[in-house]
Amino acid sequence: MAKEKSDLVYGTLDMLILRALENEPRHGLGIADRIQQISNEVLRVEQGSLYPALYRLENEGWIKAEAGLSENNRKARFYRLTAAGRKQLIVETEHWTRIIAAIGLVLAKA
Amino acid sequence: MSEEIRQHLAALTERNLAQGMSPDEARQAAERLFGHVEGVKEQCRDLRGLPWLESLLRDFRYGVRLLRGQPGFAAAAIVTLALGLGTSTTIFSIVHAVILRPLPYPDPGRLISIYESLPPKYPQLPVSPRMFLEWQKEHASLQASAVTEHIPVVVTGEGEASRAIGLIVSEAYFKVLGVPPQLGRTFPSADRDDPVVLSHRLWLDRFQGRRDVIGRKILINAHPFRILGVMPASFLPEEQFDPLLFLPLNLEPAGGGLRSRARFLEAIARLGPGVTLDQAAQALNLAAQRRAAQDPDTSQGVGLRIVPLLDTLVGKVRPVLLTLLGAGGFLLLIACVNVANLLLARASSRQKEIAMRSALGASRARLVRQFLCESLLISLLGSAGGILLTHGNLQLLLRYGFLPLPRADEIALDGSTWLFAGLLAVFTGLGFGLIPALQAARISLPEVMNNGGRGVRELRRRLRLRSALAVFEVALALVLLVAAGLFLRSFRHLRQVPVGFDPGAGVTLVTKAMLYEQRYPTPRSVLAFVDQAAARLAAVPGVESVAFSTSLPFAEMNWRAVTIAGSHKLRPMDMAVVGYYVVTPGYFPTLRIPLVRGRRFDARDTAGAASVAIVSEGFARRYFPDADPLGKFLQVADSNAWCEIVGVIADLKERGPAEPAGLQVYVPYSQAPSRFPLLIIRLAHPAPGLRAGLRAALDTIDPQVPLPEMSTTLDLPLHDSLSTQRLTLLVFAVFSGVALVLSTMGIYGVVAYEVVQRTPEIGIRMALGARPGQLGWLVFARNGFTVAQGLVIGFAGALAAAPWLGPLLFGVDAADPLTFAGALVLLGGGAFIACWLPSRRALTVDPRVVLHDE
Repeated sequence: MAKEKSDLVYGTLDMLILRALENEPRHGLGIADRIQQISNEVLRVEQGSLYPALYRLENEGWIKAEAGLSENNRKARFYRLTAAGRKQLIVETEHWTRIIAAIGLVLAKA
Repeated sequence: MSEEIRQHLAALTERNLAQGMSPDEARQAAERLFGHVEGVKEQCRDLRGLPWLESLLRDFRYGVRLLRGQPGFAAAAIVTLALGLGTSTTIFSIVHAVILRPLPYPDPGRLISIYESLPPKYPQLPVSPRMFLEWQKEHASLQASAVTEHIPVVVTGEGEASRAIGLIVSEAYFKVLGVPPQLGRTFPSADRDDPVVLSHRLWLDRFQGRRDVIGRKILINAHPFRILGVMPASFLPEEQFDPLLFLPLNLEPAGGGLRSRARFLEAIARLGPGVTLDQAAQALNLAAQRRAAQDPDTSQGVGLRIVPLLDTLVGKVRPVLLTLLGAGGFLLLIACVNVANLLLARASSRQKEIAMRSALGASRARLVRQFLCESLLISLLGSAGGILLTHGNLQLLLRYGFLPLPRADEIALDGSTWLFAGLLAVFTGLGFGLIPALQAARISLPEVMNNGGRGVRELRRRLRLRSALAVFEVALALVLLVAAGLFLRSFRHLRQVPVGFDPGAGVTLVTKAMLYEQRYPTPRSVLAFVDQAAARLAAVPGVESVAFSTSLPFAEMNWRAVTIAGSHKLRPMDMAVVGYYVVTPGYFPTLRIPLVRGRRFDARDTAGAASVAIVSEGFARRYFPDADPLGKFLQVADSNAWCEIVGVIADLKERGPAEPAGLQVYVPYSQAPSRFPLLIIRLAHPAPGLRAGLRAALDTIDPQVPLPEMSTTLDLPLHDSLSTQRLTLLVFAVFSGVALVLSTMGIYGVVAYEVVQRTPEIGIRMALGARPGQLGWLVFARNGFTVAQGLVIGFAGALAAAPWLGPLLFGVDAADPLTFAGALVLLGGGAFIACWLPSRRALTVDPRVVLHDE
């Protein structure tokens, strides 16, 4: 696979994290893997930048950290989407869809 | 957080290993994928941690490094502040313990003292038993009230005889104060035996704290009493000399004797719940009006006056202490100004550093914060020094008896003092730091970068600010100096005031004798001892004269109500309380009180002879303004004898040199013998081995009469009576001395700084032909003007302080020209020298060096 620009579009990381957590709680590496997987390996998160984002989301109250065991039985912090986070995901998704549609229009008509 | 990131990396590395990489490759690949580990950590810290706290800590660490780099500056600033903070904190701890802290009784705000009052001459008099019984009918406003009087007693039975103060208290006394006994019970008691309650100290002294004392009997003045209870140590902390015991006071409700109308009782009460002082005063005055109606002769126009108990105890020293607190504040301000000036000087030498930081993106707020951190650091270190100083001060003051204050035993370096010192440190740190911080952060970047911060405009601004601080400092110092001068002059006046007797420093000895009842059962036996002892002691080598007396001015005072014969209608103040002295014939020569008219007591005045009395000049003037007092008769409240006045003697200022002379009545010892005389001895010259001689002389009469170790002199009580004034003088002397040094140093610093800053200018002027003398004069004149401004403002300030200082002064006007002139000369002289010395350095500027540097 040719290496596409793997940079995330600026400002979308929060939304992607929320989406990655939509179905089940995950730890940091799990979130990175999930984003990569859903995006068919297009979007590669620079994994370090996950953590500041995770703390930010936690401060906002959209996700909640809890202790758990990883697949190979190591202690890890799992992040779970909160009710507020779920709402936020909907809001951001709608917003993003509108933007994409608008950009699509611009590109189509130009 | 680090743990989580480590785990993440470990998991990635593992995954890479599983894909067949070598361990090193695996780790490196994982790190590549993860990104900059420390950078991520930093971002996370900023997000979740307390970034401001961390940078605050960084600022403090930076401050510590800076202070270490400039130990001279650090020491000067910290020592100056420690002086200012230490003195303020010392004064605060005294003020707090004495006048701010509530009394150690439950609900102390409701405790009051009650006085009879006949304004304007007698605003506060003790109360009479009749008045007390009358107001007790007004139950509604007072929860409980009690009266007390105290008498010296001898305690015997079990162990040696010892002296104590018997506090005779009416039934509700303990209920008023609300303190339960440590052991047993208190009054009222249904006991048929006479009950006594012991103070904690007496219990320890006499019974070594044994718990089985309750119910035992002791002899008080040879009369048996049953021990009812023991009070805790915290009760009545003001007891200092003899230990206390509490005896019940029995007032006959309908007693018609003179004593029931005499005013000799101290009254305390507890206000009823929700009752205000005013309401209580109204209710009590109804009682006073009833008394006036019953007994117009003695009580016409007499009201009742209520004073909060705390005021009774400390009201007198409150203005003094508040003045001292104010002085402490002044000194602290001066110290702060000095440190602010130091900081300003330092800030200007740090301009380049500041410019660099602001060029690198430090915001103004960030710079101000860093400067404030540095000044807080200095103030906290200064505060630590101040606490040490306070500790030392209190130890010294307490040890050398400089704190002759009520509740002095409660003075300590306690929690409130620590809190005060901490708050003060923060406030001063912000206070003296803020101006330099704002000043430093207001830096103009281009100016500094272009010419190294020596722009003329910038320099002007800095000099103006520093001059303003110097003006302030000089003004404060002048106020302190003037106050110190006034207190010094006032104190010298007080020392010179004739008090009516010759205190004879170094050649007098006063001690308390004790003739207890078993050995001296009758007045006759007491008298026989006193006569013999007076004669034998007078014969001891070195002794000039000997007297026995029941009272001594300033030290042992006894008050009695006195009636004059022949005035058929007694006006209330004919019952006035006078100083009452029962004395042997040797008393007047021993104290050297001059006779004005008539005769002294002598061998004629025996127990069986006609009763006689001697009165003071003031007494004669008051009661016999137009007649000859000799041959008139008077009666003392607790005796039935009418005494003929045979002499008039000089007035005594027995309450203190600053107080008006009181009235005194003397009666001969032979006609009113007491078992508790004071033995007063005047020596021809100081005699070291005297005590042995006196003991030997007493042994020839009765070896069992104790000659107490505790003795004093005639001048010591007089000395003690001035102790508040001495404390004030001491504090102001020390404070104004420190203020003088600090402000002179401050001005020196300002001028020296100006010379250094203006060196280039001076060099250029010199190169252009200005004479060195002219330039030195330029600097001197500018700063001399600053000092003069400070002196003028300080002068006005000291005048404005007159209403506060005036009431504390004696014999000197609060606007005393001599004191003001002295303070001006002292501070002005010091300040001008401090201006002149660095100004001269302007003369030594070498224009060649300057031009070369530029």
